Amino acid sequence: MFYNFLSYLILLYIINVLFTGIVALFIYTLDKKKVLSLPQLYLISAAIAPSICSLLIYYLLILIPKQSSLFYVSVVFAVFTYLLIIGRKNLHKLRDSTLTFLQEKKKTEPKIFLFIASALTIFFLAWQIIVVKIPIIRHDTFEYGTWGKVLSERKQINYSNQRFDPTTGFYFVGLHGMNFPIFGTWERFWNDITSSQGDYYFRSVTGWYWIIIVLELLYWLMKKDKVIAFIAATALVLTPAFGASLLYYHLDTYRIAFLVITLSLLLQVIEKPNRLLVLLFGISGGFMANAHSLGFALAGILFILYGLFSRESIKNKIINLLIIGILILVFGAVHYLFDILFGDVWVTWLKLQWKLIQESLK
Amino acid sequence: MAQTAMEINTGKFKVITGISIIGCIFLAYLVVFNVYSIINNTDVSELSLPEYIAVSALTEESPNNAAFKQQISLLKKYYHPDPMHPEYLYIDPNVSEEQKILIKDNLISLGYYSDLSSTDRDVETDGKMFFNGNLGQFFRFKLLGNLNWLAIPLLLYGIVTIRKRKRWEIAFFLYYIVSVILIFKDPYNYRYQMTNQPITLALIFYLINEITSNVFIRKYKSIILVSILILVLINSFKAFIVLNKENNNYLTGNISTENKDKESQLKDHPTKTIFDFINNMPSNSHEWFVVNNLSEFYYYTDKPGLYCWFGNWMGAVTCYWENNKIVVMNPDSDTIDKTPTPGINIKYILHNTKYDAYNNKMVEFLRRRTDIIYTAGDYVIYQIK
Repeated sequence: MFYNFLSYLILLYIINVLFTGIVALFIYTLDKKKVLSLPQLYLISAAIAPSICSLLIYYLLILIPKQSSLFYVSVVFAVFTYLLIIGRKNLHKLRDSTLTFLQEKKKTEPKIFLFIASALTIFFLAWQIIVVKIPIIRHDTFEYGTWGKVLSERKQINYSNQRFDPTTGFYFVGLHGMNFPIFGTWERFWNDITSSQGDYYFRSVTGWYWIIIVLELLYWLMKKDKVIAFIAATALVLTPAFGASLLYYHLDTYRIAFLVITLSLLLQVIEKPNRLLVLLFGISGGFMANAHSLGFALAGILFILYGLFSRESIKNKIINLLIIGILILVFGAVHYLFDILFGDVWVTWLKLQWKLIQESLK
Repeated sequence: MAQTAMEINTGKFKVITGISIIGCIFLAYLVVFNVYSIINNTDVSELSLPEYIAVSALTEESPNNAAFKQQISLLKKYYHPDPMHPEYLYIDPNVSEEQKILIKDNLISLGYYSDLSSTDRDVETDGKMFFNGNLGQFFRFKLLGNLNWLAIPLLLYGIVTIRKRKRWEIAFFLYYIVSVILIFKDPYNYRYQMTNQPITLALIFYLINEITSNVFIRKYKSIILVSILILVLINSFKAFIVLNKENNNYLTGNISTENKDKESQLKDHPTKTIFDFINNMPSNSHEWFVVNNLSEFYYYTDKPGLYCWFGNWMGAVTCYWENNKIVVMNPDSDTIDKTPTPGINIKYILHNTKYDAYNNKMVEFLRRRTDIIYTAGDYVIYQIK
């Protein structure tokens, strides 16, 4: 039990802390004009880093299937090491800016600093207790977890008949992308390497994105009024379904976090046209689309809104729309394209919808 | 001051004041509503009206309200016991959760509710479908809090004042309207309605901040904010109690089951017990389970199982197999196909009694055609005779 928990904590540290830091460093290196504030930089990185791991595993299982768990984990580590190498020159700069930012906040707003620090510490402890103590009980979460398990055993994603496992009889009913189930696959690869057991990391995903959503809301409203921001964050945390989602391990916080981030990036890029914001908007939109088919529809809406409201010249707007479209596709929406081209789930679903429309018209 | 005087005379000021007054009245109403329901322990949001009427009618505890009494007498007229389930008739005066569920089942069997899934999702009537479903993102107080409705008047205010808005604000409002329409289309799932929750709160508090920056409303800002906070706390407290009850004390970490298995604490959770048992069963790859919508079977075991759903009121039980559905059991024709597809020999059925209400006929069928070999909590393993 203790060894499993320790193994999980190491994995959590590597993905959610170390990889977040590396992604932040990489974005910081690209952000020449410093359009992102430090809290925003870290929040975006915290959301993106674990999803990059999932996405890499997804592509690897399609392109280089049937390899060992060690192989897949090593490739992910190699990619992040490469990102670290690219950003290494800015490592000290980012570290110094972060420390200066924290010290300044501690000095100028000591009560708020203390409150947020204490709240985060309490959250972290509560989150870990929940993850260890409360098993998965929700039907849908089991389906996602089982799909992650099937992929870890097959070590292959095959779109021709991919939702059914003839060995066990399991049928994955979902239409959505696979990044969320692959968190389970990734954990099982890690378990293989470390000879550990358990699904603590899979259970922890909800909590990680839960706190990102709360902090995003707090961050944006604090720009207007600190008291209002704290009341809004309290209202969010105390929203019964949102509060309880921390315990259900469903993918909702995962998909909502990317919606919040993508929308905030869109609104920002409308006011301040910037190529980095465009890139991040596309990447985050891709993850949002992958997380859930509703996110796919919302990504389409945000894409159109960018076209309507961007202040860029027509030429730049078209270039940016192309970039955003490609990024949304590469970072997640490609799942739906593959499924329509090579699979059958979406096609079957679309046929069913068409039949229902025809019947309702009769 | 000159600017202030101008603001008083403008239509904009009147709109803001009007919206604020209406908002405050509504807030006050919600506070009273929530406090009242806590004091009286009526849990209005917990029981649907027909259930409440049924409970009151059967327990002879009718509230002192003429309209309510009339409804009860109407219900008594139409409420007849189901001869197939005489046990449902006995209602203890101290109505427990289980008995409420029985009443609900009985109402379903009478055709009062057409669909148990809709009932479980609180969208079984047209009104509930509209407010809890289509517009659930604003009015599903029990799950999504009691503030979201504020987004409607505030968004209207935002639209009225669109001319002074920045580009990003217009994009934000437009996103919000389109996404609300999109989510409106799927009224069944509260999780979809939760999609915009942080964005709705951001919209509400952003515009509240703007309105309360008005020189005449500024002095009421703290009152408005404290009212909102009290409202949120009351609703959350109430919802926590209700949801915890509905989830068998899951939220407090004390998971129990309907048959009150005393051993069912977290460490010996029925899920663990049942799958420990299944994992220790002799392994035979040809002996398959029929799994009634319990995906945990595949998560915790490596045994083969046909993934099925017994939720149909009548008719055959179909299971997923590759891209088709195959029929394995049919209570109407009293048949079980033990080898529905080559290489598969069905021997066991994994069921959970929480699904009983979905298909009483199937429960009878299972009792007749199978033997129970193991139970843990609500889980049951049947062996086909």
